[in-house]
Amino acid sequence: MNAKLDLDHLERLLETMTPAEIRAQFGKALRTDPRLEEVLCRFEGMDGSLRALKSAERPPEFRAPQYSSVRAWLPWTLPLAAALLLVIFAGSRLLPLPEKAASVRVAPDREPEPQDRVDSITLTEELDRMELARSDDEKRPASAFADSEPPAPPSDQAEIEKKTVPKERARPRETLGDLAGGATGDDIDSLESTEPEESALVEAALRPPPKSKERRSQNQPRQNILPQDPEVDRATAGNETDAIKQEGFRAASPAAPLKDKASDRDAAASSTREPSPLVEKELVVEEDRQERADSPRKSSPVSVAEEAAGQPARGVRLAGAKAQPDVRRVERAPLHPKTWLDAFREAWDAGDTAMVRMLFATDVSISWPLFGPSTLDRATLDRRWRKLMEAPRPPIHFELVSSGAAGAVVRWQVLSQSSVAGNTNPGGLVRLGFDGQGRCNLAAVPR
Amino acid sequence: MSNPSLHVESLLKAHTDGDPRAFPRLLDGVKNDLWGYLVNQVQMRQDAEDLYQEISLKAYKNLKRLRDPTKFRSWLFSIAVNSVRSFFRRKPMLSLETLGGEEAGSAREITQDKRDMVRDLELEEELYRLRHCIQDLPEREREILLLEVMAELPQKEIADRLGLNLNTVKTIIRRSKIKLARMMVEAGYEC
Repeated sequence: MNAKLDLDHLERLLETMTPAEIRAQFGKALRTDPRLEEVLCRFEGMDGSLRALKSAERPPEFRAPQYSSVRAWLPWTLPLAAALLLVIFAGSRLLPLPEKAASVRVAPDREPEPQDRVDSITLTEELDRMELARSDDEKRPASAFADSEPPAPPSDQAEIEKKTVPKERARPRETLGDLAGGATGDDIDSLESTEPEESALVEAALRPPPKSKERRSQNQPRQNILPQDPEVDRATAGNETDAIKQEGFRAASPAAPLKDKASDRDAAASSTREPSPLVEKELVVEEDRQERADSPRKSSPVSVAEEAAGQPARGVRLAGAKAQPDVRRVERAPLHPKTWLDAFREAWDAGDTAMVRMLFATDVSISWPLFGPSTLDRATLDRRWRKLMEAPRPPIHFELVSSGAAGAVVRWQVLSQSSVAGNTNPGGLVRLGFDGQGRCNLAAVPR
Repeated sequence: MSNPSLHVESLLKAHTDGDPRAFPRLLDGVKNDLWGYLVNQVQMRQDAEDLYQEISLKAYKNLKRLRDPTKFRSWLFSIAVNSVRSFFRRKPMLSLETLGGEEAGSAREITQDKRDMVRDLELEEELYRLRHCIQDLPEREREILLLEVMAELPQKEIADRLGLNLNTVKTIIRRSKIKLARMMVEAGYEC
């Protein structure tokens, strides 16, 4: 058989036939192109060439790790460090709670002394009892406090605190409500329902929190109990009507970013109030969350496109410096034809093969006189490019004639009288097509 | 002639017992193949050296887990395959540019005799071209071809390791050699 034969056909034949069989069947056709016979020869000697490649290499020396007695406890280092970090992290969140819990108080106006704290708790308990008693007999003297039951002994202090905790936990709603200028808790009403007949001491202790800056500046102890609130609210599906609380509690969960932002936010905090670190952190986290929600819109269209395409972060080097072979710079692939042209020109000027490989898709078809008369695929382009880079290269001028969804038409001109790929002063129009990643998959002379 | 697997087994045991000389001797039998695999996978010699050390160290640390001494070679090259894949995930192949002496595996002894020198240079040029053509192959084809050529793993074992059909591996290897032959010829005609 002497049918016409080319390299592609020969490749397919070699998959199923030996070189001898091909010569027997296509002897005459093989002589039409000397490359065909050479491919057969190369294929026959490929195993030997590969073996030669193997034996040519000398490996480096293996350097065994140098272990010492430290090795015995090294495997424990990482788990210990992780445990230590966990403890520190947990402690930083938990440690303030006992203090804040200890500073829980009923009276909003001042930070109580320890004895005052006991007294204020006792007063609350007493008031409750007095309320109940009044409602029963309506005969409560003004100095009811003096005639009331003696203060609870210290041994009952824990019980008292337990009883008052729900009230105290409710207070932050009032606090946040005040910050928002909004709703107040039910306990405020209960506290404000004190009758005028109460002693001045009781009245002072039970004075409703002022809705002013003064109150905000004194809110620190109250706000100290805020960390409890997220857990409480989440556990009890608490009040969701307060917008700030809602945001703050939801934002409280990601704790890691808090520490970085808190110090920055501290400097910018309002002087009119002394927000607790945790409230601040909640607001900061909320801002951070908002920033993250916005960040995809701010990212470069290239990265979005690449991520949307599910591609890893690969791209072309846009630096104008001469290529450094030992530097693997991975930047974003250009999408716009103009930036592609800039990158191609830079690659031409710098002789950067890496850039060329990234600018062109693997399935590119190139019929561009800049690279010669024949149509090239990517592998051939790469080889042709390397050959071109060995010779002095004149600069190339690009002019974007038009661009659209189908690609771009570019006018190109070599700015020199020297020849490129056998053409003297070459130039003309070229139509470039691009794939979704901004790589050129077509370069052809427009009809 | 001593049984190689017994030799490997005794070295494994020595390594487990803490003999620091055991592992280098174990590595002697495969290091050339491993190095050849790596230099034909990656473009830069420094990367090949880093991978070589990384793979050797992994094998050194995990050798106690190897139950079957006869599988040492394929076990080591499994580590190599995974390490190279991780490497390419971190550093996608970019440039085929080389500088004298920096390209992986470019160092070669040149004899004093002029004829040998010319022959060596021609052979070096041939090998240089072949290495570049290998690196132009798709990653999977290159990996399978080098496992057969450099690692000298049986095709059945390659198929088992990579989860492929044996016929698929055979086809890929043959097709890779055909492609290399054509690429070598085309590169030669452009010179």
